[in-house]
Amino acid sequence: MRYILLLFFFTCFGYVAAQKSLYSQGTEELGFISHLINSQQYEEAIFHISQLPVNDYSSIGLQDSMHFLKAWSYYCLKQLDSSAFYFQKVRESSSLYTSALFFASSDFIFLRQIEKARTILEKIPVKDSVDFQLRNLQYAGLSLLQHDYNSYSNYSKNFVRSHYSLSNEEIVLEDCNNSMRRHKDKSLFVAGALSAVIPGAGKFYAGKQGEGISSFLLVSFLAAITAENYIKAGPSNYKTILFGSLFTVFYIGNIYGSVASLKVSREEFYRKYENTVQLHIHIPLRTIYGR
Amino acid sequence: MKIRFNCIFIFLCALYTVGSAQGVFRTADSLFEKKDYRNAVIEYERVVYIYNDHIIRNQSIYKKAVCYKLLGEYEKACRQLLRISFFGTTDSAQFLFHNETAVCSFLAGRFEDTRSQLLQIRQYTKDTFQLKKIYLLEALNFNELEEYSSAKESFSKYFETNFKKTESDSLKLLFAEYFSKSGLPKFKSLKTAAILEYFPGLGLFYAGYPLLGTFNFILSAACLGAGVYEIYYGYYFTGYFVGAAMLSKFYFGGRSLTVQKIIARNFQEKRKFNDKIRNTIYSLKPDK
Repeated sequence: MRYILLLFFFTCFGYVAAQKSLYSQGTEELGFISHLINSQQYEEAIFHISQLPVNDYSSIGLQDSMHFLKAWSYYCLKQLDSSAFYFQKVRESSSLYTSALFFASSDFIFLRQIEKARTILEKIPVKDSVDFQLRNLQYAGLSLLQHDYNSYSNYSKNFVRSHYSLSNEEIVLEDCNNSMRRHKDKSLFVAGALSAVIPGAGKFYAGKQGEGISSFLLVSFLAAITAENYIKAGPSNYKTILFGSLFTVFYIGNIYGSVASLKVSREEFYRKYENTVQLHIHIPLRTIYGR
Repeated sequence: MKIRFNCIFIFLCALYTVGSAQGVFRTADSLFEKKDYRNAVIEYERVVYIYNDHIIRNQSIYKKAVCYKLLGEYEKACRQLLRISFFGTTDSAQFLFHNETAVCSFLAGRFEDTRSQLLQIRQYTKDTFQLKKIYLLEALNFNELEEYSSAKESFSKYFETNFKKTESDSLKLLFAEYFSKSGLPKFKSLKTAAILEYFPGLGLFYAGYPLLGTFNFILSAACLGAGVYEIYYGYYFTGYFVGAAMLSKFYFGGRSLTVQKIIARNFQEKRKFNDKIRNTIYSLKPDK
């Protein structure tokens, strides 16, 4: 009996000692990895974490911190898919869980995977009013990125404009919403038709004046050459056929180009506001949860 | 008895101090010796993280930079060496750090940085024996910067300080031939080419591309001829299109092609010459 008690005592002591050693080793590594990240040695930080027995640290609660730091390093290297993957590995029991999910959703927003970002936002546990406001801002931003203005209106009702790191961003989102709503898409048909009547007019309509003038000059000049050869050499002359064909190609190309130009300028308009939205829903994340 | 006790105490202290100083780098150095440079980098950085002593930190950063150099990541090596603090370091340590920075900058293709590091070595190193170690790098760097007379001078110093007199003399003769007017790379002038290209194709001829030059000339002449012909017969629009619009495309296209070809040719000439010099140098075995 005495020997069994002794054996039990030594086993317990050994276990506690091993856990303590693992904990001190883990916290030391954590400090070192933070040093690597703070000195912008992200690749080294990722390499080092990959070498560590991260799963062994789960018993002492450091595994999540390791995943978070790895995700953060990928985030700083702009490798957003890897970053999102490791942010999502942080478990619910960790104190880093909320911030990890916010950043994972932000990664997906930058990767233009809006639905995935929304799914992750839904998982975020709201503990206080700041988390609620922040998540609401993210939802509002996502709605604007999907051009779902009604949904945006619902979220914007919750804007309180009182928190220092959110109030300005809420104003910017409101401005973006107003501008995007007010914007009326120009008709692709009108652009094509205008270019068919006056070459280059469709590009003017699309807001690309320089391209419009250049198209007009080129097509008119080819038309003049074709007409000149038609009048002087007749319709069956090889020069008439050659320049006539060239004119036809450029004329049709100009109509197609006008439609394409309008599509591009539409995309440019929305891209400008989408970039602003992306930036301004990201700023409070860095202010509130950033390292 | 007291003396014996003191001796034992001092001996043990010395042993402990030496042991701990070597122990700082034990893990990193063993990884380095196993050629596991990637892990050695991490361990050297750990030393920087743990120790506040700037001499140990400098040593560690230096060794870390060497690891990066051996991994072929020269830019990273340069960035690490910039972290070194020169405050309170010895002359020989300063030489070592500057020299390593110069080598890594050279390997990273940052030749102006290499020049700057070498200038600092020349400025601060009082030991002339150390200076003989930089002549080769200095010469190779001058070569890359196309400063051939300075390169020749540095090569001569390198041969004088690293080879026996007879061998040094023969090498100097060989390099005098390399660096003679006929041996040096013949660069084509962009300015001359631009002037010659006013006549279509001539610049390309000068750049060493006679076929392209001829083709460019024929195209330009054909456009001009066709344009004049059309205008002569009353086809004014057609004449303008063929004569002016197309000619301008071929004419200005020829000019920009000439510039590109000359830049490429000059680069090749320089590479050919520098590679010849490098190969000769690599085949040598210094005596001293």
